[in-house]
Amino acid sequence: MKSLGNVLTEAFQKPNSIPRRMAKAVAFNWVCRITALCSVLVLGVLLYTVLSKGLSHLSWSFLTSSPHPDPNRAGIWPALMGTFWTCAACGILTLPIGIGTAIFLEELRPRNRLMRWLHSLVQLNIANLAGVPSVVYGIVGMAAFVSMFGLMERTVTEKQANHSIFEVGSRYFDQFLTIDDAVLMVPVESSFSEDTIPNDGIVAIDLNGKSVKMQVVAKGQPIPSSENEKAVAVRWNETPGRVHKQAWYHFSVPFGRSVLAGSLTLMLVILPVVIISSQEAFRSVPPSLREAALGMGATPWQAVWNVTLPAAVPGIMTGSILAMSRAVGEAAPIMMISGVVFITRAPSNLMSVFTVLSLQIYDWAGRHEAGFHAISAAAIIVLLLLLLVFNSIAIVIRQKFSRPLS
Amino acid sequence: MATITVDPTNMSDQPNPAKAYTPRSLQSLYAREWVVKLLLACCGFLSLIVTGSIIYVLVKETLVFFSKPGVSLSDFTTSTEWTPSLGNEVHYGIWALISGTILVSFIAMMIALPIGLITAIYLSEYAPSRIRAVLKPVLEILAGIPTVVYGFFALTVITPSLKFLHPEFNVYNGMSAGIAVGILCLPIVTSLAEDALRAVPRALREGAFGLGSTKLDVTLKVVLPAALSGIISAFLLAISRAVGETMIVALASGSQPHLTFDPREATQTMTGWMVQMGSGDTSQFDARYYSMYAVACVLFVMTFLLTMVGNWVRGRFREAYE
Repeated sequence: MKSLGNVLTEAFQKPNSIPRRMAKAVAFNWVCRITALCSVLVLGVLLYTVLSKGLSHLSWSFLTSSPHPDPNRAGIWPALMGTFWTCAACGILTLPIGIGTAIFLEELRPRNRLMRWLHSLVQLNIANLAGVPSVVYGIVGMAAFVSMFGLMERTVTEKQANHSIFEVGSRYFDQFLTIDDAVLMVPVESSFSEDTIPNDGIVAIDLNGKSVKMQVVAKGQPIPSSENEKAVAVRWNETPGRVHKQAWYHFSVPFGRSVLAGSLTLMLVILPVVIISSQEAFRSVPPSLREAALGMGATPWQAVWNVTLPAAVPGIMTGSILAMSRAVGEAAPIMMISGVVFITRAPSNLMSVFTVLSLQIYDWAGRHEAGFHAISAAAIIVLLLLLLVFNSIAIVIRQKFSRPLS
Repeated sequence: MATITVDPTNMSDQPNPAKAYTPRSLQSLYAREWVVKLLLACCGFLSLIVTGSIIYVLVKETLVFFSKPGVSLSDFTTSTEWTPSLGNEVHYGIWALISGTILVSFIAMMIALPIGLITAIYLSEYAPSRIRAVLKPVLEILAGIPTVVYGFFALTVITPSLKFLHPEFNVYNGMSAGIAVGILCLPIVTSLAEDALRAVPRALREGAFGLGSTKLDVTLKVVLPAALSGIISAFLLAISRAVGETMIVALASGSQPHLTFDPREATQTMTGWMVQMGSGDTSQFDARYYSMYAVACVLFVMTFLLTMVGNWVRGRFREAYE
């Protein structure tokens, strides 16, 4: 038996001797092992940092309260809801288009040269789109969805500057303060109508939602004494404030810095991912199934709808859920759309201004106070849990449906 | 010889009469087929429209940028100073931003490429299945972590560690951002390179073993050259990912665009500038705001070229062993 020292000396005396080559091989094996350990180590340190910093701040009130200048009172509710809204809308928009494109590329075989050329063009294009940085999608989304290429800008008057050209589900009011500091709301036509001038008998809505008639207290006139009269009395020089109430289906064009613009931009980001993974899913369906369907006289679409699509659904779902988890984590394109904003209310419709969890994390992580770093870590824990849920669903689907088809 | 005729309407003894054959006109079938194909083709063309609108938006707004006073193409392409906010010394020299991007990407690749490739070799050639079962999910988790989390990691762990090792490091520095981007790119390199290595047929390895090679010889002299095209394309994809990475550099590398390759200093990348303009309070009519589109144009061209070359390498130099 030779000792290790002997092997090594021999190895260095004779280049390319067998012991030397063996020693090298063993050494490389160890290099590999140690290098491979790096990634485990990095993940460990990362998770440890986030958990040690953030776990103590994680509480129910952190989840349900709004951002606040004081880190100890801040929460992530609007950001969490913003993430849900954008991702839900993004998923609904992306899935049909992504799967449709995958069917177009995989299942509808081109018959002539023009179609074959188009197929390869679309295929190449998708490979390129997958490589475009998400921040570029962000600024394209801003030009395309937020301001609609600037085609619809209307700057006739100051009030019209930021107004939409088409709108449903929104009502505007002029808000007056009464003598006893209650609020009367007078409905107006649109956001840029002229200010309402206080006048006797204008129909207004009070805080309880009742219709009342406004009464004006003219200059020098004594203030009415009875409670009922006070509640509807407005001073002659009161200036109104414009407020709006939006229904859940509120929709307007251009989209502005809204949930819808954000979801459409995210759609651009994850569409190539969804398409490529759906294509993989279709490709892994055994051709015999498809051929059998076609052989029995099914049209191409019937074969897709009844045979290949059901067989590919688990693969498509897995890929799409993973793509959605990418959408949950994306911050750069959303930042371009919504900006880093201080939002205290969860979105109520597709046109609401919004922020998302990853953007909130960015905002807090970039500040100097350690308190914000801690709540940033807490928000990261929530984000990672969310991603964990997504990935578990993907794994369950993969496990449950991965039965051999051929 | 008797001919067997099957009358599809004469199937009354079927258990479920509701599901019995109902003849359908071929015309409606063909019409539906045609409509569906049209819809699917529209989906396919949508991706072309997306590319078209990316190019349209970038080119249009870049032209607006170059028409602004104080902005010129020669300044943009030759100047090394990016000082848009300095009152009388306004320069828009893209090289100041490109140098930041190159610095961060270079550091990232110094980490991601060797570690990623060796991990891929380990996974494909050496690792016993037990270790594989641990290592693969770890890499998948690393790949799934949002980039903003890596930015947080760079700011709260990597930068303090660097400052501990060498006090000259700025609070915001290119090194920290580069390391974080490297960690981000590591799983991409590993998974793509491992796919390439695994695609090399067993027969090649066995042939080399049969000639008396050690495992190292087989790996480095047979498997690696055979998988080279896939590995290079994995590298190029990782570079393109690093060049386009945004949130990490926005958090960790600071916002001082200047021509430097000193990893200790604060720097700014192209993506960092775009984020600063997009998130901030810059007026939408400012030349600085439109400079974002010109920078995006350069970035788009860079990543586009990297992706194209990656695809070309994979296709052109692929060794087919079937």
